[in-house]
Amino acid sequence: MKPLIEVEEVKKYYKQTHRQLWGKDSLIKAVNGISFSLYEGETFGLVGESGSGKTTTGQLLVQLLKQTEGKIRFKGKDVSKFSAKQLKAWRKEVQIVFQDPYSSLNPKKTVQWILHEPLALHKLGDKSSRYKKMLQTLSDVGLDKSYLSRYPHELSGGQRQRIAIAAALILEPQFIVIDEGVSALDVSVQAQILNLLKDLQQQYLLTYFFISHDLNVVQYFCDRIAVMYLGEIVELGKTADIIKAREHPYSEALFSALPTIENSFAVMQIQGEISDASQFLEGCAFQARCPYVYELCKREKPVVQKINDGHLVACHRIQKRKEEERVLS
Amino acid sequence: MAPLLSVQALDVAFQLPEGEFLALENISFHIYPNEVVGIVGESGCGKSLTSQAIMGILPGVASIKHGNISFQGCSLNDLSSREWQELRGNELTMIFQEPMTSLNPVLTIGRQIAEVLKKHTSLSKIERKQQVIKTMNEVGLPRAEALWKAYPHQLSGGMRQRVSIAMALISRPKLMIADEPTTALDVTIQSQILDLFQTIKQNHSTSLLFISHDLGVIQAVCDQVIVMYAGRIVEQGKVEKLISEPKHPYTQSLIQSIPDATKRGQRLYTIPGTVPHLQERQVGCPFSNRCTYKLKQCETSFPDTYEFDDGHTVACHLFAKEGDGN
Amino acid sequence: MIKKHRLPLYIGLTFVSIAFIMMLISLFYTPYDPNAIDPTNRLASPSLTHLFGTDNFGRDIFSRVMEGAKTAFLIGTVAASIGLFLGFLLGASAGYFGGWIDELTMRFIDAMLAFPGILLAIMLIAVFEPGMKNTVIALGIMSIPAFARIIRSSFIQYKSYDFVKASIAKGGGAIHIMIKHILPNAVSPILVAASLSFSGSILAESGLSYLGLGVQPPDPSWGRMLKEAQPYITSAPWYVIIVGMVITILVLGFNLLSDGLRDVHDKKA
Repeated sequence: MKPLIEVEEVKKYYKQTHRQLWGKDSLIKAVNGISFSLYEGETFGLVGESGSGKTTTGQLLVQLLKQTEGKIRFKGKDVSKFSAKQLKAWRKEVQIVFQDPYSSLNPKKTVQWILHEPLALHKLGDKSSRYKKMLQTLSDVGLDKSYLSRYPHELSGGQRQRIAIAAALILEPQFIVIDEGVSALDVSVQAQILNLLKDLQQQYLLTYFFISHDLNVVQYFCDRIAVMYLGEIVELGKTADIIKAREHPYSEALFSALPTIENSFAVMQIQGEISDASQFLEGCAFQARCPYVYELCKREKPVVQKINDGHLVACHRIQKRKEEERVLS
Repeated sequence: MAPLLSVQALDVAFQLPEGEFLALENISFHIYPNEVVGIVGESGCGKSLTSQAIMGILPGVASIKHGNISFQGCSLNDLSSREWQELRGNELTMIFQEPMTSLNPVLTIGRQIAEVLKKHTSLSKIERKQQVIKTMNEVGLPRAEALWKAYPHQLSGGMRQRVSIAMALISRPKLMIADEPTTALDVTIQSQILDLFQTIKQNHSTSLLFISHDLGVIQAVCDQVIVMYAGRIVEQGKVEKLISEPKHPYTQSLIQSIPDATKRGQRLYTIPGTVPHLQERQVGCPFSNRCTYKLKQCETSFPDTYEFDDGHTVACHLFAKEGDGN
Repeated sequence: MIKKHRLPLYIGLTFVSIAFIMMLISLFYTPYDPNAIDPTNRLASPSLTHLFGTDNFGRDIFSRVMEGAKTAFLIGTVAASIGLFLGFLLGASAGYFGGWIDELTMRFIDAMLAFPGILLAIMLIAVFEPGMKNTVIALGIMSIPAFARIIRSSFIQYKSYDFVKASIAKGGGAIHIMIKHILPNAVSPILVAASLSFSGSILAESGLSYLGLGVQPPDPSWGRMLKEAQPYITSAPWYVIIVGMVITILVLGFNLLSDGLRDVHDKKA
């Protein structure tokens, strides 16, 4: 199957001007060489802690940010080579939904204006067909036309998120980045929105890139999961495989730190916190917090290895473990 | 054993331009010494308001209409502001969600923690410093000497939350209230902080009231749990029991709607409708318009509280003795 | 019930509307011809026939104050509009695009701020010639920095909002986002700046006219009336006091109005 989106060695660096008078500018490596492919109709989950670069990745995918290096291809075409006109046309195909529906809807605009905006920007349809489209999209997200004249502050959090989803959906995109799209919602509302997203996916064959820090949601919702740490993807695989066996120590720590109602005690806990992306060390990004750290981890960056079909891990420990097993046998 | 804190039939009202509305109605619970009690519920259910009522820091538009809060046997209702100052930060302390805004950005960490001791004890400066460093080590702040001179913005979110815990712990309080203390933190950090609460529970004779929207977090630290909905307590009981055998329809649907790996491929259970606004609450059970088991009397009267073994209580007409309704 | 924090707003509105109504009436009616000289009735004290008394030529001060309100409002409006328009262009592009555009614009604004506004106006008027038109242009230019800075900071604030990013992702261009998304959100601070600039311009015009550099006869002006009243400060003190009070009330009115607007805005936010 041909992938819908291919991400190839994408990097995003920021220059940070130093606060102190005589300090030097430093480089923040928000995204440091990530590669993966997204297939049509799948839900790809990206998890990681704050500062891991997951939001940056999402914004790179819809080109709200331009990558410093690397390629992003949409149906085989390199999006960074698009002209302004091509880029605008492409924006119809890819959309983004943000975490906080309080800030992702303009407080001074009515729902009608918000839904009309994308149609007007792309000069789609005439007055009556636009109106019809708006009503249909509203009903797709479970709302009716009485919402058209309302302002965002008159809606509840869940309704706002439905409007944000409707505004993304109205252009009939193929691909939607959902950046913490359900994190700000209460559990019962979150369940409604997740069900809605599932329904819409089936109805319109959507591909989702689902960014979240909430592992419960990601495990439930996604087909594949990538774990990100300090700008790098450390593990990627089918959700079922990841739930069963995690190979990277960071993924292991992340998943076992999760307090669920089934299991409330951490199996493996790691110390410290994610470090500053500007203080970059040689070797593995996770070395400072890794309980298994080897000498090798401090010198060399681990390369991505294939565990089995579609399960990728970047960790020296896998090699080391194999060596140990060989010695033992 | 006498309860450390008891809240009895507490009503808290909001004074709004449209009139007076009860935001908390008939809230009653006890916290015993060395017990960890959790309050869980969705936004707007009144869980934070309950903690603010206990701390005597209700917002200006809210006031206690009825009921009594007593701490160590004395009523808190008519404490003078001087007595409140004696109590707060000393025997009764609080930890907030966002440590960045609850710490003073222009004071060093050491001074902020020591401030509590300066106010409530007669320790000398050196003794205070020793005490602060001891507490900092206890809450997992390494290199306390160096951190003493640091400012809040120089610390990470997890470290800042440890500082607020140290501030709440240093006076050896009888009761600590933690309002969503791990919500702003990453999972791995959250797990470290939850562990810290476990340690505190073992090493100190402090009771803890732990407020969270996350049942998983509540289960990790609490003994007892209280479920709130639209300003009412709908269910309370031992945490394992309540999660494994929820009785109230709201608690049941709340647990069913939490997504996790075991529910993959299935549709999530959703509660129809939305939480009624403060201004829209009517007589009867506030959950009745969303409840699948709704009975006739649910619309007209709020149910009594029914008790099961082990102190598990539920406020729902479904558990009335047979023949009562229909 | 009047909310306490709205009090300055209401007082300011009252002061400004009194002056505004006076100005409107003066377009059709004044009790006397403001320029009619009556040598027999010079420097008459306030009475029922001459509400504010008469000046050194026997002209009715009340009628002249009404006429002066016209000039004050005209100058305030036009100067604030010039400042708002140019300030918006500079501030919005600096705030939205950032980078070198921002640097360049803000250094230009800094240079303007470093130069005392009233000196700048005097210099402009000296180079061209005194009169209503040049006064207005000079005062308009003077008020650019205040507008530019306020608009810039609103644009910086709102450009990081998710609704702006969402609009970019839907294909919205820079102009669309600046006009349709950010501007409606920045209206309150702009209104505050506009009413401040209004009062500043009226005050500055009075100052310039007092120096003889502003509005020239026969156009009526409060500032010039103040200058004319000066020699009679002992013999006819009401003249100078009344004109001074009128200027103060309008300027104070606009300042209170802007304070009130800001409070209401802050409360909402």
